[in-house]
Amino acid sequence: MSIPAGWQVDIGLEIHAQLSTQSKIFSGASTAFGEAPNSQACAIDLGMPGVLPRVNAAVYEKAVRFGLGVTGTINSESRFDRKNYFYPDLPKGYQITQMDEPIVVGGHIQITGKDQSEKVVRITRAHLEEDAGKSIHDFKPSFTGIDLNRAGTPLLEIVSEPDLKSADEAVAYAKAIHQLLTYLDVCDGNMAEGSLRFDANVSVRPVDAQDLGVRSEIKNLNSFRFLEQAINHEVQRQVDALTRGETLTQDTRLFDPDRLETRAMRSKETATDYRYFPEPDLLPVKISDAFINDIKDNMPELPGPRSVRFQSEFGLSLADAQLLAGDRGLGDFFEQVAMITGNGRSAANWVRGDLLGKLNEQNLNISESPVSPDQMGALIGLIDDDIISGKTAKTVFAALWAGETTQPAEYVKAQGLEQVSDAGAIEPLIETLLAEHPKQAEDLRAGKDKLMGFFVGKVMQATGGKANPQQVNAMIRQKLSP
Amino acid sequence: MSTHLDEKTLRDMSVLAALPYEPNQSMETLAALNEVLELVSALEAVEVDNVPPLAHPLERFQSLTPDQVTETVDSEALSQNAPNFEDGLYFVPRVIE
Amino acid sequence: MNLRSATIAELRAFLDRGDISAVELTDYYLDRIDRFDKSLNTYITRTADTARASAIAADKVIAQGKATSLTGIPIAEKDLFCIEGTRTTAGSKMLANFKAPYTATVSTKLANAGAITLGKTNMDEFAMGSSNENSYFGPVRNPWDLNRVPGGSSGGSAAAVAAGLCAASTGTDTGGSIRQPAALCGLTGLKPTYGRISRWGMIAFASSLDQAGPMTRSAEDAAIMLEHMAGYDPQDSTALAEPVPAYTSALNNDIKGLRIGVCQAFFDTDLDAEVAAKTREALRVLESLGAKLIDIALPHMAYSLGAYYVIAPAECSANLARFDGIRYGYRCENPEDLQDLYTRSRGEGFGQEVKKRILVGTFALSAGYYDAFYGRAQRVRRLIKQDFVEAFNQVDVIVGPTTPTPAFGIGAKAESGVDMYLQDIFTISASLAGVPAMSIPAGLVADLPIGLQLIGNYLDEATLLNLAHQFQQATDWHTLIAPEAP
Repeated sequence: MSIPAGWQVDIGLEIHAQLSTQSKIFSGASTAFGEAPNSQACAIDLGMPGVLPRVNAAVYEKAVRFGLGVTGTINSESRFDRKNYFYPDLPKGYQITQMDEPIVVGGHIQITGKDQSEKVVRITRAHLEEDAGKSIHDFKPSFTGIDLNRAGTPLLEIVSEPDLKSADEAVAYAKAIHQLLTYLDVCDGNMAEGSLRFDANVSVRPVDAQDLGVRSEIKNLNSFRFLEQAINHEVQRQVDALTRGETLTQDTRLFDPDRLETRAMRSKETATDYRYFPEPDLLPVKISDAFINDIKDNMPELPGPRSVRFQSEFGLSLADAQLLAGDRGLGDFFEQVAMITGNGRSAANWVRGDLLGKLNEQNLNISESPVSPDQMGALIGLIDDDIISGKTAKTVFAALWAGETTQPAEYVKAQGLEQVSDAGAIEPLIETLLAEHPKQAEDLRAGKDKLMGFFVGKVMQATGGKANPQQVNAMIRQKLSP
Repeated sequence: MSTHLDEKTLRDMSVLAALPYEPNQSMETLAALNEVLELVSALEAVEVDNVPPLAHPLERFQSLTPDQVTETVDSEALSQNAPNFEDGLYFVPRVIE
Repeated sequence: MNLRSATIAELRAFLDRGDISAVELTDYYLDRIDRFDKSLNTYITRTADTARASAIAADKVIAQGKATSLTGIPIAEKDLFCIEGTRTTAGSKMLANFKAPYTATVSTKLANAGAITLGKTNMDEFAMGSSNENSYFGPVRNPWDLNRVPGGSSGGSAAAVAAGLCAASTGTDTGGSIRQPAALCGLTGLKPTYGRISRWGMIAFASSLDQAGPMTRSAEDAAIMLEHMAGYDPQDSTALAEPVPAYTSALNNDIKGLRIGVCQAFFDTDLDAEVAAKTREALRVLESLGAKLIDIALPHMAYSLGAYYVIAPAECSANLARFDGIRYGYRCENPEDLQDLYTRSRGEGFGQEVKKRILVGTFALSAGYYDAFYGRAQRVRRLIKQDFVEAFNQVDVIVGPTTPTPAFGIGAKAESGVDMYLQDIFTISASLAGVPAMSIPAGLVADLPIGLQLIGNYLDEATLLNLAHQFQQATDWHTLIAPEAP
């Protein structure tokens, strides 16, 4: 959707990412998804009388990794605050969050729009906080059921400056953050499980206006598609209203994906005063330079620079490089195979083609691949050494995947899959075929190149598929040449 | 600046605190609250420029706990005091968003 | 064998010698509770059956020669400490039927030490009060005069010990709630350094001020209790990791040359003339034991009440937000909608004082007022702390009166609002700074006990207990028996 003429849009995103820790941020209960309701809410998560929070160390390690990944400033001293409001999914009647002294301040990330244009988006801050529980509205009529399993799950809230000028840019930014979070093992990025949620702050203004317009906050968008749709509809709504001469008021809205519209939230009609104050049950957190530097030293190469390097070092196309560099495990796998084989292009083809195909088909992560980089490297080596054809290699790959073998070379030998490259065995076959099909031979010599497939096919049939097709091709050419 | 609460502020604070606002008791309540604020107004005389606030009496730093699942949740025991708990859920009157 | 006035230390000797069994001792107190508690109302819940069972177990341990200093000693616990399987009410209708599925660390430690819990004591609702008149379960009466208050918020804990309805008890102190009732009931009560005792399982009032502590008949007993109650707890992020000293081994050092700070400002306030006189007498006793009296100033003491009545209500307004009738606690009948559920459950479940403090706290944190109220109060708090830090460069202990008057009449200050708050005028600053402080009996004024407050440096409970013990060797105020519970 394009922006109505004469108007410009300003969007800022608040992204809530669940950190991929074992236990909750302030208690030792499990963060596992999908368990029976309230089976993972301990006394601390339930806000029972007399309980106290403690702090999970892993949230800092992940938050710092993210902060370094966006070149933000890590606050060596940070603290928690209470954000006070009443809602049934917030058991204590306050959320423990970071207001005044967050763990990360500033930073930026590069995004690429649909039209390949590049832009740097500024990040205001990223802070740690606890997630709330879930409200289930239609379980019992006239009642809402509260499941507090999710209460206390660690969140990193990432806030951007209102630098995004369209739904397209917002989605590109959301995807870039998603990629970085999963790449750095900070968040599992599972949108279906609610690991990542977006709040979009959207406002419009005339193209020549200096100040930002009145904004609406659209809450709890949990897919890229909804993010895009919600923003587009909100922009249209605001433009229509302003064009009609209405005044907009700052509000909080929900997106209805069935009706494709945003509507104001009843419960937030009046702005709530959250009365933030320092959390008295938790002391300020100090992380050492050594802690931060250790994480810095162990930071992986990020997708952007890695993609560039894959192109220059291994000669990959932009598309292949971006795909392989975009997932850390995939990139690591590819690079290992490329190093073993010395053949980057071939490694790329096999990894993004056959391997990724099988992984996606069975919903597996690269880390669960039954084929190891060594095995893949050995397989490619067999092709490069002309021991097997590309076609045969697919059979061997299938055997590796199924666990029928772990040693490609041995398997090829045992199954007798070696390419027949012995000219002495092939030559008589070719001569016989050319003699048996004189018309086709003449046509081929005259330039009907399609017929090459006919003859090569016959040779492959006669050799049970083991002839080296390139070699056969060359020998036929040679026989036909004057 | 001796701050005193008025009716409107009492109503707003009651909403924020999820306490009932009882107009026929508000005079009494306001008097009681304003008496406390009068006591508190003594603080205005203190020179506090350049004095950082003290949130924790002993100025120490937080110890961090290793990331391990250490709780086995006994939801029966935890929900034994709940007025309306069924099928694993705590029920409240229907919330309209 | 005089059980009525027996200290823990004396009971230990009786038990270890076999003069009495833990079961007999438990029955002795349970019988006294039956006789006297109708008029005193110190216990909200009695746990006679579990007490007797614990006593049987204790007797076995004693027979094996494996007793700790507390094995077989019957105590009472303030009803702010959650004990699994037992009702814990915080003195409120909001939790009138609440059974915690966990036990407070302090209670666990005392049980592990072999102490016998006779029951949960009455208290001002959610620890807010100085007279124990704010309890949903009715007021507690002072065993020195049944028409007078025992003090609060640990009024039940104080009156129970004073009336011989237990050997010792646990209390909590946020602005004086152990020390003030200890003073009004003739007991020794200690608020340790903030963080010295774990707050896990102790229902929160004001998180940065709350501390548990012992209420006993003597400083030696307080040392015994503190040795067991104190210590690091990973469940409480504010608990201190420093090892717990053997307080009982350090009681007999002489106090020659001990520097005692006397703050004239204490005597310039609205302090009852006789209380002032008794305080000065006590100081002279300390001098005669070799201590040196040094004038010190606590320049911001006058602001401690104002700072406290911003900070404590602010923290309590958030701590009490969890009481919404959803997962536990009082729920109103037939709520129409969510708003109704919240406001009526909280409106009906909380008492007046609690609601008042929640509103003050909400206001102090609200937009436009935060800087002038909460922000300012926390800055004044730092100045109050600095006063103590500077004072402890010159002196070892600060001594003064615990309360401005002895026990007042029930109902005399109940409607008085801020006048009631003035009870804590001497105790509050130590809470704001987090330094340890205790009250010990220092005489009678109009036949009513009054207390001497000893304030120490951070983590220096040992010096306080030593000083208190030496004072108690030279005086016998702590041995007097409350006349209404002979």
